[in-house]
Amino acid sequence: MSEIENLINKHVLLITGKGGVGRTTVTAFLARAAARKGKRVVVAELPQGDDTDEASSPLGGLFNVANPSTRLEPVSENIRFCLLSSKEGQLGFLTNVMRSQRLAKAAFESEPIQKLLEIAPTFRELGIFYHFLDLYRNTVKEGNADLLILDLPATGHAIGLTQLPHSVLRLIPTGKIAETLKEGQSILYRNSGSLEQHSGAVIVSLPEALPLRESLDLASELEKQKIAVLKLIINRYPNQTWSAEELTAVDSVIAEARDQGKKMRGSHEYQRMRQSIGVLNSFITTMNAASPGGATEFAPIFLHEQEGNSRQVVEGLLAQEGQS
Amino acid sequence: MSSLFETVLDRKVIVLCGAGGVGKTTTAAALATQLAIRGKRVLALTIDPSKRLAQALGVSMNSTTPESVSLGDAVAATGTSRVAGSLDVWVLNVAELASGLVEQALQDPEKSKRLRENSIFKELTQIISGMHEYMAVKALHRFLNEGRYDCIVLDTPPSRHALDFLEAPGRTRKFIEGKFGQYFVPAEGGMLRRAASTVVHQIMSAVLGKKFAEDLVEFFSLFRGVFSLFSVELEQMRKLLNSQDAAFFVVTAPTHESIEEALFFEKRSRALGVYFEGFFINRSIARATEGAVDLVNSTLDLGVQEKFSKLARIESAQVLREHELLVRLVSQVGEAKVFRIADMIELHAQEVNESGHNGPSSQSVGLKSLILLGQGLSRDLIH
Repeated sequence: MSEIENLINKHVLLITGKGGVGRTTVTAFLARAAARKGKRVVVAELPQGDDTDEASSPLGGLFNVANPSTRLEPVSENIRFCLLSSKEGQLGFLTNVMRSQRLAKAAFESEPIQKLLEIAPTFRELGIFYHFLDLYRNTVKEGNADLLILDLPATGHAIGLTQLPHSVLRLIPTGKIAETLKEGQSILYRNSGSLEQHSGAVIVSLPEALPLRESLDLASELEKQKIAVLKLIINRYPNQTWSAEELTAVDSVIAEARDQGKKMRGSHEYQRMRQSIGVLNSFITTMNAASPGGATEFAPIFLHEQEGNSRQVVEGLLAQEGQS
Repeated sequence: MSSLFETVLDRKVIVLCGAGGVGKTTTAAALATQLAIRGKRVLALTIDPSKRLAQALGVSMNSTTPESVSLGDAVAATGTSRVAGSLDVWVLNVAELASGLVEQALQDPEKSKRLRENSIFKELTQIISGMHEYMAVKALHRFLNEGRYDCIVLDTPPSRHALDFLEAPGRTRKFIEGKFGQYFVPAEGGMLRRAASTVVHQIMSAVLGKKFAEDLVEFFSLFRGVFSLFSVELEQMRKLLNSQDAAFFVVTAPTHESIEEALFFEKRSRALGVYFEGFFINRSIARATEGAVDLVNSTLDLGVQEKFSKLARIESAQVLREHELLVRLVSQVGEAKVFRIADMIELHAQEVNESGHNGPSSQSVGLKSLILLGQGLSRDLIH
């Protein structure tokens, strides 16, 4: 079974990574690859920017969604899409607690509740968390979908969101909010023992030192939060590879030039590549050390560089995966 | 070379803002080392340094007071000058500052104990938005009044709202200055108000649980007094940050999205009326590759030469893209406001080379790199 197939056999995938590494493209690619294999897929995206009501939707755009909806809607064969919304989640939660949609709406719109939501960013994230949970309950748990893929925002924010259950449970250890958070944790967290892992995070990175370093930090942070890191995907991997002898040869030519006070065009790009290899190796070492029992070797998935805009890139990746 | 430092040398506060991941904290640290070398007693006040930067500077993450960084050896290693001033670094400790504020304001051991044990107070930064910024202001006030430092270099959280605290009082929607507490504090006054407050409490208890709702009420009633005191300091610091004693910069990477974000900060600081002094273009490939020559008469195999030329073509294309972006930026903001910083990759490669490691396994930025980076901060432009 290919590495990609392994991933799309899971139930929940959280796609994370530094800004600009191609998370959304990878999300769309995985969803399409799964749908092609007959999986019923749900893709979800978080609202962009600080304003919850803003309707910009990069992931929706890849599926030709003109007006992204906060309700689940079919976007292509076997794929449904949903834009998560903190307001939707907050209201859903209130309705669940108060058992009346009318009362919940009145409470939600009351000034004190609005003020509290405004000053406390945690409640915004709680809303999104609840919406995600609700989505899981109504799809994968109900049995009408096989795979739920969430395109998380860039690193910092993603950590905030996955950290949420821990910090809020410290604050509110019992009651409805706590029950909700624990239910969410039971879905997302690493299984104890050797049970097969059905959910976890996929870190997307570029073959460059900085994003790789950040991915390494992200991986250890997620593992600390008991979220399994299923895979590292190296996006835009260059098509050319270098042997150890070739690297040594180039190193000495560059060093020689440096001694003569010369800088070679291309050496900056070369150094960047050299550093990437080093960081990638330490990433794999760290992940192997972290994996319980060290049963499986942690190997990244390499997605080769594709030409064109993001839709063409998705098509290119699918064509490549079809060949393998 | 020195014009940047002419601009900032006599400022009391230098604020660096920008989106996440552009190297804001590294730039702040590099700038701070230069000011220290040039004779200032400097404090770099940072919010969330990467592990590597903290290691390079040799500071710990949970320290309750600033720690001094010994620059001597690293400066000697760069073979330039001696250190005329001093550098301290502090990772902003919100809990510490908030506790100090509580002691100072409540003057009642029993009450301050209750507040410090309040569950919401313990998770202050998680719960209340803007706490980092306000506590940074608190720290500014404390250190400037103590007279320990000539200059404080401050980096802001990576949020578009990072400068909101500079808005005129009353306009801010943040908790600290708003009268949000009134909704949650047991109502005094008329019957209607009391009745409304009872309903609010019932809803809160149902939704948040009884314990948390009670903590919320306690927190707001105790914290109200704290902020009436803080508002005086906040006003003083607002005046300072609005004066020419403070300089604002934005750090950005040479990419389209990042520069758009940087222009947002510039516009924002202009609207706030602070002294905006420029853009730091971090990881400038153009700068790092200046004066590079093509590989000729090489002893390398043809195949390897071919692969290397491909890298050279990618590099040249990136340099070109960066030039276009910078030309556009300069046309919008003027040449005097754009400073390029060399890509760390070069420095890192040099350091690895000199120390004889045969691979880039070391992840630390290195104090020496930081100093070299600082030396390179200059009014240096596209030719």
